Amino acid sequence: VVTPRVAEIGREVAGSNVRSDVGEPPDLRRLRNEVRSFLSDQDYQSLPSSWMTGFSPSFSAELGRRGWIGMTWPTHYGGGGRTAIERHVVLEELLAAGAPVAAHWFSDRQAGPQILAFGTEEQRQRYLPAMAKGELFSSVGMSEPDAGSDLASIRTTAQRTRSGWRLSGTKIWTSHAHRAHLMLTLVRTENAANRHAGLSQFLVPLNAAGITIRPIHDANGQHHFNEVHLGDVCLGDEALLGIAGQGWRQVMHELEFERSGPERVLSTVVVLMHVLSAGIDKDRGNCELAGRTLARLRALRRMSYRVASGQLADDAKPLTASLIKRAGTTFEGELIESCRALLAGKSMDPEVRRLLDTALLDRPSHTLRGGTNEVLTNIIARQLTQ
Amino acid sequence: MTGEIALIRQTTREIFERDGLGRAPRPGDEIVPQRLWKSLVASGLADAGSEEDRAIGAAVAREASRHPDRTPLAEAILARWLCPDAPPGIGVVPDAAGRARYGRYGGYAVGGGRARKFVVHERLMDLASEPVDTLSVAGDARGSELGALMRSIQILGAVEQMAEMCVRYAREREQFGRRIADFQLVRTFLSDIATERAVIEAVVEQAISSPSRCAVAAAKVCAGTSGALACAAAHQLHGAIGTAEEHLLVWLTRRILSWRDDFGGEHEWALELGRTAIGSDQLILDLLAD
Repeated sequence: VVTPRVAEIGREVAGSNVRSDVGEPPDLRRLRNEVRSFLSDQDYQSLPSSWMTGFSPSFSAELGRRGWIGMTWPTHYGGGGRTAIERHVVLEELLAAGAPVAAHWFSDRQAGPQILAFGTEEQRQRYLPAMAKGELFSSVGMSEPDAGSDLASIRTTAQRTRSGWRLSGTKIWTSHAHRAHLMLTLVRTENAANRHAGLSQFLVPLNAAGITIRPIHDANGQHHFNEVHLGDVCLGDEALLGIAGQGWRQVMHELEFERSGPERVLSTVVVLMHVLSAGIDKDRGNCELAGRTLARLRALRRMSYRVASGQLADDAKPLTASLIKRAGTTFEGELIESCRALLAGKSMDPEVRRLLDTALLDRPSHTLRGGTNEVLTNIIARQLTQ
Repeated sequence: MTGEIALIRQTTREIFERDGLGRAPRPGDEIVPQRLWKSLVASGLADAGSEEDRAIGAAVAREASRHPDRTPLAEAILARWLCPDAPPGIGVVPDAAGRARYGRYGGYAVGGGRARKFVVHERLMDLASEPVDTLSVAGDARGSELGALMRSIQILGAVEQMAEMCVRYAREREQFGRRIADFQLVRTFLSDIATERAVIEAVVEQAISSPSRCAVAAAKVCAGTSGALACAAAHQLHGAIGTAEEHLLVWLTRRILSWRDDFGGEHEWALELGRTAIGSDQLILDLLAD
């Protein structure tokens, strides 16, 4: 399905209609326009939270061909050798268009950087080039039926065998496990007195014997979540990522990547973009509401941008990342209600209706995925008052 | 530049700590404490920063607004931004209706892009117990933009002070046998205040480095909205003691609630932002980028 409005807007902006942007250096501006012009030539259905639900291997492969996956990874692993801020600009454009980026999202954001940081040379060469091409997809196995916010209480185990490891247990809310190649999996390898010790990360091939994947449909009826059962899955040593027992530290490193990205602010902006050009009234109420929404969006977007641009001191990053995730995901939800208010009394274009309805039902998950707002509140307060 | 800014902030802080009142003003105090003001003028801080190094003047104003003393320091810096060639002395900046904070202390008023002589028509005190006077000179559009930016910077300084006070109090204050920082709902207040502080900082710093009309509008909308949210959370966290007139928190609240109305409140600036955005052929990301 084509979304003509987004395509049209993309074309206009890629053309001559751009107001000069003094805040952004010309090379980033060029990159931004390059992504827009690419998007305007693509056929896809726009989605809110497209980084969770828009799964398209062919679209991911297109992005891979253009060097827009694994952008910051070294070139000798198939990466782009580019800066975090360049990657940030590309992600912003993809998210704002609601483009289907979910297939490679978790490789680009989590599995890839983890392999780069903690993997062996063999693991890097085996996985990173294929991930950067948009041909090898990873999912993430962290939560379990009895371990959500309390992640350290996971019960899936990996036990030493003569030839490697035997994994057993159940992971849940694993997006796209039914069509990804890998699952970056947190397991317990040792029962330690300190709950945060004895955890380890594995790269589990999802075609391994003993794996059962059951679908969970989300509130919109979409299938991206799964329950993944590991029934005595035997893996070699090459499946261990990093150091056995260091899994908690490795995962915390990963969460820093995960929490400050533009997808914690921009998941629903595609709806607002459509609404602002849907012929709504320019009365006082609408203008003020749109203005307030845009001002806060500007601030949150800037916060995320600053983390990516390396302007923050290292010790300020974890706090800022938690603030962004907590405030950004709250904003993503409020934005949908603002869109509804802006449209009040108007007969709604079916495409706008579809985007709005999808976003409304997706809203509860914004402030849950990747750490609930309550967990983040504790992390923030602990950092402020310890 | 970063080192220079830190040094300027430190110098400003030291002067306020050495020569300021060190407490909330009381009825009967002189409005502008003369010892402090003389030090500030002598140090050159009242002339800090031209339009080119706006960040310097912004740092002075941001630091000054953490302290309870009332001075026309921010007005003097703002006037220099607008009118770098003005003669030596303290400038004040009226809004479009001729209302100028600390107007009576001004040697000149900025209107139409230049320094002008003026008379004071009316003298009033505002919600923050700061003088707001009506002058014979009215301000211009650029004055309103940079004025809105200056108030946003000041609100940021006040909210920063408030956020730090909240963290200290939550660690010190014990109820039910433990420090209140360990109650989940209090943690929510702490997180909310830290969030609103960060929101204001993000847009204000962007506007300082590039004060387009859109940047200033966003800064003033966020400063007004987030400033009021921070006040409410800070008061709930502090309990009854935070409502006493001599408590610094009251003083910060009064200022934030008053400053947010200067040079257009968040309603007016939001209206303008929204009017630009609805039906525009620009993408949201571009509307927000400049």
